[in-house]
Formats: sequence, C-alpha cells, structure tokens
Amino acid sequence: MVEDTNKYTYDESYIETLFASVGVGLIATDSSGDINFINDAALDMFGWSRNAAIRERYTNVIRPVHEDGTPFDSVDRPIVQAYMAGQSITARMMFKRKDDSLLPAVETVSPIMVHGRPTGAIAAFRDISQEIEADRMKSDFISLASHQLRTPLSSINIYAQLLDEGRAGGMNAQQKLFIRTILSSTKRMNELINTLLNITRIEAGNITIDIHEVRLDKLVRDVLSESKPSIAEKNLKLRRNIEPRLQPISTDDLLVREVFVNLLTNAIKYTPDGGDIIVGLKTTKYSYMLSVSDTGYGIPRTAQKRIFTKFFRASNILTQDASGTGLGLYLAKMIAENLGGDVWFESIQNKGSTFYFSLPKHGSIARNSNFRLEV
Amino acid sequence: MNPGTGEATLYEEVVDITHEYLGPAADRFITRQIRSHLHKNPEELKKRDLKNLIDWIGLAMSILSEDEELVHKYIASLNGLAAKNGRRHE
Repeated sequence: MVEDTNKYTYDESYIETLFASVGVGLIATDSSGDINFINDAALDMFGWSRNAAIRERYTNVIRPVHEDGTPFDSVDRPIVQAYMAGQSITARMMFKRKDDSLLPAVETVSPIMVHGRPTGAIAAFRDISQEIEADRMKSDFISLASHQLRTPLSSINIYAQLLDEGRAGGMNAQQKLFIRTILSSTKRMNELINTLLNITRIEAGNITIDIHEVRLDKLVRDVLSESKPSIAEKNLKLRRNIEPRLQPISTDDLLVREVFVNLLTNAIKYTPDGGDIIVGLKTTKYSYMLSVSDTGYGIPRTAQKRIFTKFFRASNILTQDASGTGLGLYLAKMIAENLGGDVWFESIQNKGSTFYFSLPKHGSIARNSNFRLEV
Repeated sequence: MNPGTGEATLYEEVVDITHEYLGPAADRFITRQIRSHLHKNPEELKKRDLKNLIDWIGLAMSILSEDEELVHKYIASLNGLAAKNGRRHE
C-alpha cells in the first residue's frame, strides 16, 4: 500500500522527472477511476498519447484480456482486487493496447492512502514480451521431448500390463517381480513427465486458473480420505484441526488440491512408521492457512534455504528414499504463488516439519490458457 | 435482523442499498469489503466504520461501473445512511 507522508517534500517536477525516467510503466488514478498521472514508459507500452490518456478512465486505457482476447470480468481486474483487499496485487496477464494489439505484462497495483484514506491507485507495468518468447521456446522443447517420451512409455506400460495379467502365458515368481518393477517404474516416469510439463507450463504462466467457489474444509477432508491407505500402511496417527464454518474461497480447486496433496504426500513419505501427522486449516487476518505437520526426519538447517529449489533434495532424505525428483515442493510453491498465496515451512531435523500453504481471503485471479494441470 | 430489537442491522441496511446497484452480488461485495478493510464480521459493523468503508466501496465502484452518476448516487445513499439515525448502531 502506498502511504503518503508529509515528512518529505520534493519539487513536483522532480517527482515527474523521476517517474518519467523509470523503465516500468506507471499510471496513477484518482478516486473516480480517472488517470491523473502516466509516465512515458506506460504511454509507449499501451500506445496512448499523454493528452488522450490524462483524465481518461483507467479501465479504458488498461484493458486486461485472456489469452483468447476476451476481456477480464470487472471484478477480476487487479485494480478491483487491490481495492477489495486493500493491499498490493500483482498479476501477469495480457493487455490490449489502444490499437487492439496484445501486450504481455506484469501489473502491480496498490491503493494510494492519503492521511489514512484511500484516494486512488498506482499501477506499475513491466513488459514481458521477451521473457514470454524465451519461455515459449523452452516450453516447446520440453513439451516436445515429453510427448516423444510418452509414446514409447505407453507401449512399455501396456505390454507390461498384458504380461502381468498372464495374457502371454504364465510366469514364475521372479518374472512377475520383474514385471511389477517395470510397471512401477513406468508409473513413476509418467508422473515425472507430468511434473515436468506442469513446471514448464506454470513457469511460462501458461496454465489455466479456473476460478470457482471452493470449500477448503471439504477439499482437505476429501484428500485425507483418499490418503487413508498410505497413512494406515505406515501406521501413522492422523489428527485434523479444521476451523468450523469456513467461508468458501474463489480459487482453483485442482491447483489447491495439487499443493495440498504434495505437502501431505511428503509428510507421509518422510515420517517414520508410527509417527504423527497433523493437518490444520484456519483463517488469519488476510488469508486461509493450511498446515501439514509431521514428526518426520525434518530438514537439516543447511538445506532449508534450498528446499524450494528445482531438483534439490536434502541429504538426510536421499538415504531414506531415492525415488524423489526434488520437483514437488518447487511445483507446490509455484502453484501457490500463481494462486496469490505462498508455501513455507518450519523444521527441526529429526523432530519434524510443518509446511504452511496460504491463500488470500479475496481469492485467486482467473487465467485462461491452453493447458490445465496434468495430474 | 437484530434479535434484541427486531430492527435491521447496519450491515443489512448497507446491503439493502447496495442491492439496488449490484443485485444479488451485493451481499458478497459488502461482506468482502468489511472483512478486508475493517477486519470484522459483517454483523459487527458499526456506524463509526462507515466512513472508511464508503471510501473503499467508492473506489471499487468507480472501476466496476462506467456510470459515474450511478456511482455518485450509490455513494450518496450510503453517506445518507451514515448521517441518519443519531446514535443508532454506534
């Protein structure tokens, strides 16, 4: 939030020069939603002249659209979200310039507070055309490689299943063991391909965020119910601490579910037999907070800074489970951030960890794309 | 409805006014504004909160609606509510 203060006084022309020199586009509005300041970078980005833009309605100049060119619903606009939440909102999206050509940009918009009263908004825009192009090339490469991997993998899977079902004759115990190993390896490889595709797409901002009213308490209960067999298999004690009568949140249940499943799966995987898992869900001032605590191996202090880094696996975990990819937490954090939330943790080695997943109370911002999350 | 007095709560009065402009979205819109900016539950809304709440509602409406006159009329109705009724809802 931008707080005004009388402590500093600058010449108005100095401020204008300062803002004009900034490489990002800056636009300020008054309390009626009209533009009262726009710098040269913003004029260039959106193709407007200063005379035309000043006093024009913000919504006529800043026109966010979905990938297919359809306009955003008014309530999904970042400026409205910032006014509804009373805090800064950042969103990466497409905008229509004055000539209707498309501009990919990141918008950060904050309410302007003058003497404690909201009087308008200031928005900063960063053109990300070049980043999008680089991301697209990387994404194309990984998509192509993944699809090329999937085709032979499907054949291996199908024929291994046929052998396992005895369609090509009986097998001895050792042959069956070999086939089961092939099947579980192809399953893991398929999951890895899905994760790689998801990461590539989400890094490129190319994943759909499909907004509905979601009851987080129900989602948590459903996932816990599905996880019962793996919890029982390790004789883990599960406790729930779910706040009653939670309001629904506008977000994407598929993506929220993926983050929660990821955190819960880690807790199950990295907690020794007979340990405890506590799943919590509560509201805080600005957010919904989901937590997964365990009495597991914990994360060594030296590894904690890198735990959300792509392909990173802590040394104490490598000795417990060699099959992980080091991509799950990276993906979970990326998804949470795309939903306007975050993932973080507290951990003590050999005592356990608590992972937190927050979502803003005002909900997530919708995004239309060609891809849904692969699960 | 206030169970003690049988009168509409201040929140219900705000929603009533808003309903004319936002229809069925009024309840959710006002609830979100109260929770986000006042950090209260809707039923805890007090008259002294209205000034701050109306500022935020005005900003959001100025972006949501193209019709400046309509927004002014809506905000004037809310200001009217803030001004009336003496100490009621304080």
